[in-house]
Amino acid sequence: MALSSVLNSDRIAALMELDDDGSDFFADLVEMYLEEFEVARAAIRTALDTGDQKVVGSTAHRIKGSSGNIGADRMAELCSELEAAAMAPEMTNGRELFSRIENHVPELLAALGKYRSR
Amino acid sequence: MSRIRILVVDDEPGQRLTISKLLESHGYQVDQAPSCAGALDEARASRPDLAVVDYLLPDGTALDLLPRLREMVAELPVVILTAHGSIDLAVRAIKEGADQFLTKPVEFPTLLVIVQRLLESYRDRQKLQASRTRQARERFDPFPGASPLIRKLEADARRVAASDSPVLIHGETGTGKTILARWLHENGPRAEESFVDLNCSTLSKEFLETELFGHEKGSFTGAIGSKPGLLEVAHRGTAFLDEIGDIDVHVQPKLLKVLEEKRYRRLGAVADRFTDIRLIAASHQDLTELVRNKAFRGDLYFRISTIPLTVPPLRERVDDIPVIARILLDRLAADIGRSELTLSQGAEKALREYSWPGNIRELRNVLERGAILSERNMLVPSDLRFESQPAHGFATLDTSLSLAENERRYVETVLAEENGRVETAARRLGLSRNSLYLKIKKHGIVLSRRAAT
Repeated sequence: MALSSVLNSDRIAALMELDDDGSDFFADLVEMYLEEFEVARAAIRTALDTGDQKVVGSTAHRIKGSSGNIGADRMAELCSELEAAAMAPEMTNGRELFSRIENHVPELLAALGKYRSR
Repeated sequence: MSRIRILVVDDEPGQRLTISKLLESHGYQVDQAPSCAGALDEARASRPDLAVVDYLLPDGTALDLLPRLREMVAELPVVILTAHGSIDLAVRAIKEGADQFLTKPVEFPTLLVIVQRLLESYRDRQKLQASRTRQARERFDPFPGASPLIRKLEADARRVAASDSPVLIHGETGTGKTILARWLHENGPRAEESFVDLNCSTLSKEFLETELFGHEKGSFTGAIGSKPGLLEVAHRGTAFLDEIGDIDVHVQPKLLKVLEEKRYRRLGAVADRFTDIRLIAASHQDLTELVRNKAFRGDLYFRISTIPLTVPPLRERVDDIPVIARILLDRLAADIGRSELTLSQGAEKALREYSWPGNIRELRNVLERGAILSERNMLVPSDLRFESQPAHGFATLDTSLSLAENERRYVETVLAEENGRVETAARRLGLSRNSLYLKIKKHGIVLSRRAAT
């Protein structure tokens, strides 16, 4: 299956239109997303260590939503896979899916950085 | 008038802010909450016109929240958003009363179109509900005639219609205060919203309070369910309170709070609610006199009397009476299936000479009674039965009647005015007592007295 694009350019254009009133809404939103993402990454890491599937699932769900909101489609997709795995009676590939999320972070930050510096 | 308010409920701040920003950029006023509990607090305080709610919240789901929101704002349109895009959940949400179910991340144009459609349909439902709360009444021109007094009223009313300030209409009973209030609503900034009216003189303090402010379930014996008050139904529209001078002094501060803070509390409720109304009040009494007698609060009087309008009584615009009578007769003819209804010259003269204590309402009653009881299309003075005596003695002289009939009616009128006292009536008629007795006998007049002489 083809991977989603790192960023959804249509979504980002729609978000940037909300800056028309002179605010830095998009930049603030990305800032907020990255802060939340860091907290969520730490929470998932701990939950994987303690085997708390429920927290893994709910945190991945939350990050899936906020990733989709800022147009981070590939991150949303990776989080969705982790959420689905956590819903299974016994999660077997949680660490592998999480490492895919971790590995995607630099690419996402680089892509977001291009928009933030515009 | 306040802007349309939308409540956005999502625990994820980024998504909550995005939707809020989108809606604000399209002119909506947005209140935000991160949880079910927060949403209920916001709804109570701000009375939203629509809610956009994320399905999964820290203290429950949107389906748990939905009925509780609608307890506060009846029929509130609710859009549920979810990152779980399952069909089963969507079906369940719609079955349980959600108006729309959208998958996140929501497309901005889709959300905006849905919000706009739901608001339009919500407003239509509110208007329908408002129309059910008032008696069906025909539209009527509030400024019939050409007298200087009515022309001045029209000029004043046109000047103030566009304002959003309270209006106080003063006028005797039956002068058309309600019709004027409705006209002001329909020609004002809230014309597309609800118009709700209530006559305060006919209700007890307790009943008036529940009618105005609504009540919660169990707030008094017989309150088997909660009910919104008229001020709630009139949200964003106009509330017309007729005979406001009759509002109990203990209810008056609550009404003042609605005007000053846009807040009120249902009977039995513990928290305030929000409502945004334009108040039009009316009274036949001199409210300044009531203020002096401490029967009406001075602060409330000053708040409602920003724009005073006076509807003149019919007796002060006699030349308008034939015009108004013709309008009423046209309507009556259509109602009772006559090709037309007109007035004889004598009937028109009688109408002009009568004092009309009940004003246009009384005129309509007199004409309606005359039209129904008469088989002719032209009403003559004998068809007109006035509710009190004519203003200037024997006003209903009708040349179409015989001399004997006119004499009978003349004698009868004078006797009635003298309360059956033969001696004083005879003196006024220029007759001896015996001559008057003979005429009473001749015409078969029954003497009635309220007090013996």
